[in-house]
Amino acid sequence: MEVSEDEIRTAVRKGATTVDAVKRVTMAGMGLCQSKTCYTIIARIINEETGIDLSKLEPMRIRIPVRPLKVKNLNIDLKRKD
Amino acid sequence: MILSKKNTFDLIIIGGGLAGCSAAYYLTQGGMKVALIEMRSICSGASGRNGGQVIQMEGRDELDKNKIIKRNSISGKNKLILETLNDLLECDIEFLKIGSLDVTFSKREEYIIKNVIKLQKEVGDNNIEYLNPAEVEELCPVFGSNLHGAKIRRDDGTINPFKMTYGYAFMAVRNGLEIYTYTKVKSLIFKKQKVVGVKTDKGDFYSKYGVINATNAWSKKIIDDYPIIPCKILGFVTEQLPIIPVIPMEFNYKDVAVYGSSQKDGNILIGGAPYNYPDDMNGHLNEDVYYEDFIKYGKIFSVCWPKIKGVFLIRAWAGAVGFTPDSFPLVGPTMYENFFLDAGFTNGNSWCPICGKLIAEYILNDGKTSIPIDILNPERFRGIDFDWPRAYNYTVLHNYIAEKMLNQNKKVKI
Repeated sequence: MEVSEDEIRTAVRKGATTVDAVKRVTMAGMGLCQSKTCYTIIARIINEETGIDLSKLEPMRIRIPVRPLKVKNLNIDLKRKD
Repeated sequence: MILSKKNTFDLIIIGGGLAGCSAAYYLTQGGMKVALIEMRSICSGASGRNGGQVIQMEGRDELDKNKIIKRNSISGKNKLILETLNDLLECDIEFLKIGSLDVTFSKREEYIIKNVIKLQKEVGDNNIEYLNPAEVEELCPVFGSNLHGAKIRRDDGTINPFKMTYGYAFMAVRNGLEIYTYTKVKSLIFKKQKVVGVKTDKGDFYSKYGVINATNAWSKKIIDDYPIIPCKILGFVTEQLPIIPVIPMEFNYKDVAVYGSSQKDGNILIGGAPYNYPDDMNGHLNEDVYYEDFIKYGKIFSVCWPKIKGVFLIRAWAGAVGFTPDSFPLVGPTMYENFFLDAGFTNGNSWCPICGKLIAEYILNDGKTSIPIDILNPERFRGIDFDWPRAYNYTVLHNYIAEKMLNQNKKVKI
């Protein structure tokens, strides 16, 4: 799945002024690397289009798992707290 | 969206999810000057956290024939709207009619499902069938030997929830909608018993004809006296794969309600209730997912879809839907003049488009709607004293409602 620079710039111009918002409009950041590759590119484009300083840009929501995990390796017994 | 200098509108919509954006589209189509106020970005709540499932009749506990007819009448009409959206919104909402399944994993569940099918057919719903395990496996080759039969509805399917919500939003903007993101409503502005606007952290907005609360899980933050209860739901997604047809489905695993489906680019999604339920109502809104949730759903995935347990999970998240006592949303006018509700959704893709259309019809046509909306009347629970359990999940809420309705003196008008 590829997202073009043009799609990202259009999304920002239409009001998607955070990386999460750009993700929801364009699906950028939903691939295998979960935005590790494109995050800084998207942030820079938002800065170019809106003037929002990189230090003031709302960070993207980072989620578990930190790295992809195979389903079959998750067969761990969880003990209930009660 | 460029902040406009004007702050008086015909209508104000609070909430930029599928409910708010669809209502905004239909209202601006009717010529209204509308402002949509969203505390984060468009589609950032449940609308942007679901699996895109279009399931006309979800769940198995519906044994009231009248309710089945009413539910089907609205969610069935919703599907007709979905078929027109690519043209109306000039975008591809990726509506794939691949069917939907309610799958079982035990003889007891199989018996329940067969009864649900029988009951639904008795009220004239002939679009559902029973499939035996071999037929399910042929359609959807991910299961193992623990699979039992399933209910299928062949004209259900999936959409891309982002494309649909943004489709409505962008077309509404072309019609003149003004969207104010990262703007949080602090309170309604009342003039005697009439709602005339909203106070936000970016200033006051005024409306001539009304304010619509389309904040679903956050409804009680806007106004407290309607029973729309936030309920946390989790989501997990795999890497992209060559298409494995995991048809949108629901099932129970050890009494946990689970949903799942393939997405258009081949990722497979699974989700459902959290491992531990949050301590209180606000806990359902925190959108956090924990280690135990990840392990639990990894296990459910392995046990229920054993043929694909070699795939990688790449992300876990959570969101909140809006539970209501009778599982119908609250859509329409309220006892407060010029204040409307369009909230209380747990199956938004099958309800929000039509409810957006209906609330717009109500407002534009002086109370006349193309289908009756009395069953969605926001005031139908007025007078019932709900004492919601502090810590809850879906099952706890359902059990509380069942007990409450049994002890009710006053009948709930449905």
